[in-house]
Amino acid sequence: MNNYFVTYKSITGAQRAISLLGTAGIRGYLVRTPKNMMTEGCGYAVKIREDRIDLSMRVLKAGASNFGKVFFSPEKDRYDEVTL
Amino acid sequence: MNVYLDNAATTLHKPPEVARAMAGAVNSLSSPGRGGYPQAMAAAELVYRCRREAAELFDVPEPENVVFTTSATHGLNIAIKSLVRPGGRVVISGYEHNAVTRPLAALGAEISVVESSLFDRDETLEAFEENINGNTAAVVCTQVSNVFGFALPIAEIAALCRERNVPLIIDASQAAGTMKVSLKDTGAAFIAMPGHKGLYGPQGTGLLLCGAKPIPLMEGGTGSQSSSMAMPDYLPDSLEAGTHNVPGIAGLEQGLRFVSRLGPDRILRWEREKLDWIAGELEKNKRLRLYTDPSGTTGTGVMSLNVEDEDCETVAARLAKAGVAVRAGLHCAPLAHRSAGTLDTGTVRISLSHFTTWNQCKAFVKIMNRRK
Repeated sequence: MNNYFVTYKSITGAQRAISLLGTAGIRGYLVRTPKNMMTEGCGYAVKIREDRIDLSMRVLKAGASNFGKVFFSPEKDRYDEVTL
Repeated sequence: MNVYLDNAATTLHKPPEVARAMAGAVNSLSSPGRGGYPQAMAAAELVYRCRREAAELFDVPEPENVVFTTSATHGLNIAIKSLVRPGGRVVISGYEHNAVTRPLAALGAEISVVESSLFDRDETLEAFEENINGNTAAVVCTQVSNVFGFALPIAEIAALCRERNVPLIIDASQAAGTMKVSLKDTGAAFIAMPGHKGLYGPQGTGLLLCGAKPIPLMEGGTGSQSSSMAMPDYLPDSLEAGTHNVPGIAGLEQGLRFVSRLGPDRILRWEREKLDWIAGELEKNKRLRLYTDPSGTTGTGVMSLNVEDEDCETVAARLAKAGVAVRAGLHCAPLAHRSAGTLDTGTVRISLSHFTTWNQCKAFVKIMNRRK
């Protein structure tokens, strides 16, 4: 299963996103943002399974979660920026 | 018997889980936001849990708006310096602590003190109404006087500030843990509180609840946006430069849970029951002057008193020798003493906590009633 990565400037923002997803029954994982996804250095991302991303994005947008960019990772160490 | 009645300074007796959590953090957690390895992630999880616990207890819509500080003083400095410019007019109650008055004086603010009688809520509200005008940069008000336990009409003052569109800073140092403190209901710009008093956390912890955009008091590493020379402009990172006090936050989380579990109202009721009993017993002693609310409705678990012909510091020293811990003097709040007419004498302050026992109350009364 491939994953999406939703980036956050702040670890607290990412933690709140996980909490929001949790209320919708979706499990998100807090990870350090991989270096090749970063734009401003040091950040965190929420890793979400491919089959949960549509609902996740709806939940995050409804919860006014202040995320940065979204990346799709079709294989190890490859991250393609996507618009959802 | 040791009788600890200086809980308005620091609650000495904490729920046992506070120390346990702190020891656990010292032994197993590193820094939140500084790595992706388990000890850093566990620290981040703890810090977020504590933020969320505080957000729930104090009606803060988002956990991000709960900022960790080192004390209420730290939080008040951020709040005041975010809203007030040199020369700006600030309206404050006549019961403020030096944690409010000194930053304002250092800024060169024009300070307008609302004069009102001790324990008179109506007079206090009326005086605020007269003092707040279109030129007011901010109102700063303590929710409870740290000297007299007087609960000011904070909900009404907050409503007045909302009506006149003036930002309000609440000093909840003596209220947090025993009274309702709500960012949402008051619409306050900022609410500051320490962790080591009514929240039963350790010294060196505090919370600033942010309803307005703050300006950082200091700059430094936040573990975010590291390539930028500027501080992040979002909460909580903008106010949390440097490594977090993880053991302190671990203790504070347990303190917050303890307060949430019991409920501030219930804690206050227990404290008041004992304090009312103490006051009732001491009133029989004609050498004592108690500063209590005649209506019995505006007090908390804090009371000041004086002994006829005996300096307050001498009384406190005598009590210390007998094993009773109280605080005497001006309690870092000369303004409150000026309002109550005790600036020249100071007072002896007794303050209870959830852990004050009936036996301690009885021992205190017995010692107070001894001839010097």
